[in-house]
Amino acid sequence: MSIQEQLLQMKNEILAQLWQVKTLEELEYIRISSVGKNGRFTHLLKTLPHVKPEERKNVGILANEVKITITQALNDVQIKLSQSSSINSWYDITLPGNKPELGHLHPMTHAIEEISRIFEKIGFTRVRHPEVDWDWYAFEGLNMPREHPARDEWETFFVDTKPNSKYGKMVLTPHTSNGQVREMEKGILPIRMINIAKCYRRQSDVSHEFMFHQFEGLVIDKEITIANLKGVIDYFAKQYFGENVKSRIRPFHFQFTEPSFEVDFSCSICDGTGKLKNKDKCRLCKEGWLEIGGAGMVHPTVLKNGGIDPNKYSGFAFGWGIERTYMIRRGTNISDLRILYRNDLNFLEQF
Amino acid sequence: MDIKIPLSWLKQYVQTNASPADIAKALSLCSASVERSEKVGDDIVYDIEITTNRVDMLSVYGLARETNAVLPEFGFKSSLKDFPEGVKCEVTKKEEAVLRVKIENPLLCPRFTAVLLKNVQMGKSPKLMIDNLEKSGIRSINNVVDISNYCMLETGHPMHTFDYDKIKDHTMILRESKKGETITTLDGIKRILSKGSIVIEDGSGKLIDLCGIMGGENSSVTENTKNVLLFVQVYDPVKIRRTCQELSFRTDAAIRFEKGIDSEGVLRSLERGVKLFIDNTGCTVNGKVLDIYPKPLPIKSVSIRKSRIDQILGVDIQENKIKSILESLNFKVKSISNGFIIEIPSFRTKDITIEEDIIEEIARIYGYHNIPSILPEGQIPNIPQDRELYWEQRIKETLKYWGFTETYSYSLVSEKLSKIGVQEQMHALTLLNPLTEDNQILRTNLLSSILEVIAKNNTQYPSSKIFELSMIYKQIKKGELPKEVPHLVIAINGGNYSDIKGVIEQVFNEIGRNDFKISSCNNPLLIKEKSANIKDIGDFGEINDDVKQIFGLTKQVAVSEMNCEKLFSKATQNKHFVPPSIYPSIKEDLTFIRGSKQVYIADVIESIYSINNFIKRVGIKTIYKETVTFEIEYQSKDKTLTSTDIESIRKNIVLKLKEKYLFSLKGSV
Repeated sequence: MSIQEQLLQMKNEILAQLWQVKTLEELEYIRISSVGKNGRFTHLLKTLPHVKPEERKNVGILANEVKITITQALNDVQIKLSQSSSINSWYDITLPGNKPELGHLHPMTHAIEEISRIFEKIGFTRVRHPEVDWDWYAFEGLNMPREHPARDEWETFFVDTKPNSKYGKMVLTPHTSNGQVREMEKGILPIRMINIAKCYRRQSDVSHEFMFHQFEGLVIDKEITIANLKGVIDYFAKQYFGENVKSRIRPFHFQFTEPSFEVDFSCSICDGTGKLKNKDKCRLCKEGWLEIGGAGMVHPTVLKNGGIDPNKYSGFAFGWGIERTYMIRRGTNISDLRILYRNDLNFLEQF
Repeated sequence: MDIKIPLSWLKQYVQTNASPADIAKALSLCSASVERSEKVGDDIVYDIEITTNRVDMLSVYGLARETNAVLPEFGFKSSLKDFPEGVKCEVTKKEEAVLRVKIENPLLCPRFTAVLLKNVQMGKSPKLMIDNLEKSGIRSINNVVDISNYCMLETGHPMHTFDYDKIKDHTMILRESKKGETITTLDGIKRILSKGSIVIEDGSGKLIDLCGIMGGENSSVTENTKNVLLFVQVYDPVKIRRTCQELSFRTDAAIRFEKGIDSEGVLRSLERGVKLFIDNTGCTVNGKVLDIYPKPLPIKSVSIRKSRIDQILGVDIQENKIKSILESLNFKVKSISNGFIIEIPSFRTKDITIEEDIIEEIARIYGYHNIPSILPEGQIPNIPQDRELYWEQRIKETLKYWGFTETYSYSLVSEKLSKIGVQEQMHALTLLNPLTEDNQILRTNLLSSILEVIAKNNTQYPSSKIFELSMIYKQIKKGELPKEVPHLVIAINGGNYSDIKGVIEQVFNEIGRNDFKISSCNNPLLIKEKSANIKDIGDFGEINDDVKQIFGLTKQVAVSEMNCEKLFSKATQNKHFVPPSIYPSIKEDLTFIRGSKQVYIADVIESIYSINNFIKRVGIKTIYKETVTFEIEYQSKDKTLTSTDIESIRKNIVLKLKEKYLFSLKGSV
């Protein structure tokens, strides 16, 4: 066999061996035995001087090519084996992953979305009535004549502008109830409305901020009863607070509803018992109940103001604070409501 | 209004086997909310919230009446005692030697009663009286003052005592005040009145009483008083309320008068007062009780339909039950063919007027807890979803998933903040009675508010990305409500023009709009060269140095504010599917060197597209200094393009870019 033939045969054999290699140790063995100090290839090269001078150049080129091929193949297999998982290689699986960016929606957006969905499931339509409104819609149309003491309940902001001869002063609405007559004026019956909007009252402490949100429900149809109001309140309680939560209504007074109620939900922290597991009094609720807000059957005067005949239609309404509703839910641990509008990013990023 | 009442006092008038907790629960569920039950010695003091319409419950006897009506529904026995015992007095309409009274307008004081008590011995009140007063939150002063307060708490009728001998000529003129008149009230404060307060002037022309609110110092009872004039009135609630508001002070008496006192109950309350005086001060009644009551309250009746009761409640209540409930509340019930005629007791005429008021009485005593819970079964309204609300929520979620954090800042801003970022002379609406200086103007832009948030969080969050979607309030026409327009503001702390532009371009994509077009803008907040305007929608760009200084920012901040109404007006969920060509496309890069002309790359790209229909897509691969590499994709719907086809198009591109924009191709065609 000529030296060229030997070179080529050696190359093929070594490549064939490399193809079969499974471990780094095997690879090392082949490296040493092929191109190592005492390897086959090295050994063969030593016979180069015995080649005829006129053939030496070509043999040299071939030998070089073979060496490059073998070396390359050795390297390739080396890389391949290092990358594959074998019992010897270790990878820190607890390293942080490369997370895609995730921003944050404000807790009020979460609450508004969730509350809207709950009511939409039972046929309510979400609307948005004005924040800046006339006295008529905020008070007078709701059976609260000018000078009536009931207005004191809401510390109202007045806008510095000329009053309207028909609708009275311009105010920042202190409650979403201004949407009731507005909705009725649309002239479409029956009504299942959920009005969510910003409200404003002249007060600021740990449980109140001058700007806040309310959601106002209004249902008007033929034969709507107190039982229906209880039905909707109960439905909301279970959907938003949990299957085990109960609701109840107690007598109260609003000028725009008759009868009027205050609505309570059973406290989910103490399971409505008023006491914690360690027998201490539950600090969040009152004897197992949490007051969520007011409700009532729409007053016939208000129906008339909205152009609806109270002899044919009846309805109920409720209006509750979104901040309060959100904070009552188990797990929401906010002690000062005003933090919601401070816009500290370290707060917002927790939602 | 919250009142405190000791259970022991309540139990003087209602006897029951119910426990304090049971009573509290029954009242809360059917009558008035017992907010708190506090143990005071052997007694319990209830803190009860009385609603504004139930002035009849602002008294021990009134609450006893309610308690007696609600307890039987819970299975407890109870019986109501008689009204607090009084001394029967003879009554006269005419003034006699006792008092000369002139009432200028009977509407000011629908009922005026007074009685002279001679030889009153001032001293300390009996222990029971002091205890009951203090548990109710009123300090004991002396027997005369205490009796007035005690009687008011018991009967619900405020009363006043004058030193009879200080009333000049024993004459009283009850009239409206004139603007500027003054009176020094019992607390020693001089009050300056405006027109229309109810006052009493004596024979000397001095004001001796600020009626319904507080007596005058000059006619008040002191240790030297011998003869007391006991005074129980009814006043015009609206006038009392107005005076309290004007003078910014209110008393326990005024609170009751404001809500409307029962004029029929005045006399027996006065008689109660007389008894307490006789028993505790050793005085004697002199003469008759003066009672000026020109228009006694007519008996009021309301008719209700049985069908209406069923309709509102949703349960069928037996007629007998309805009767017993109403009678326990002192209503007189007469059955008629389709319902009842109800005679209203005088102390409920203020709050019972219509059918629904009676229905409330029936329902609450029957027990709201006894009414079932049924979801409404009627037709579900067929109303299309509000587009705007849908897109607002969509875009908020989209921004969240791009790493932005949502803020909610105040709609009301300070004067200083309201002027930043305002371009047009937009008159912003101001409040007449703001809570603080920082929150008095309805904002007309969101940009300044969000820069405040960026600045506030700058130290801890130097590269924050935030957004807000809220209303701005635009005064369109004087005398009309402002137009509330939802705006979306986005800010990138540390971001540049391209950063914000990219966000907006993607917003347009997300809402299905392919008409993103910009032009230069003149916004006083933004760097002119690094800002742009989207027609009708808003401006975006990097804030300029003046603005940075105002907010204390040093790095670049990129912002955008968009009118959501306009932005979403063309939003659509409709996707237009274009079937891809079956023929392959050819892509190539063409690198150009920009010439000396200032050229908008968007125009260049538009030019390229206009050259040939086979140019499917032109993108920018890289821009580095003066070199621009375009990535061009060629494709035909009808055939496979050959290199010959491409060659001629390419030549045209190179030619046009050279001619029009002075762009030179790098390399050869």
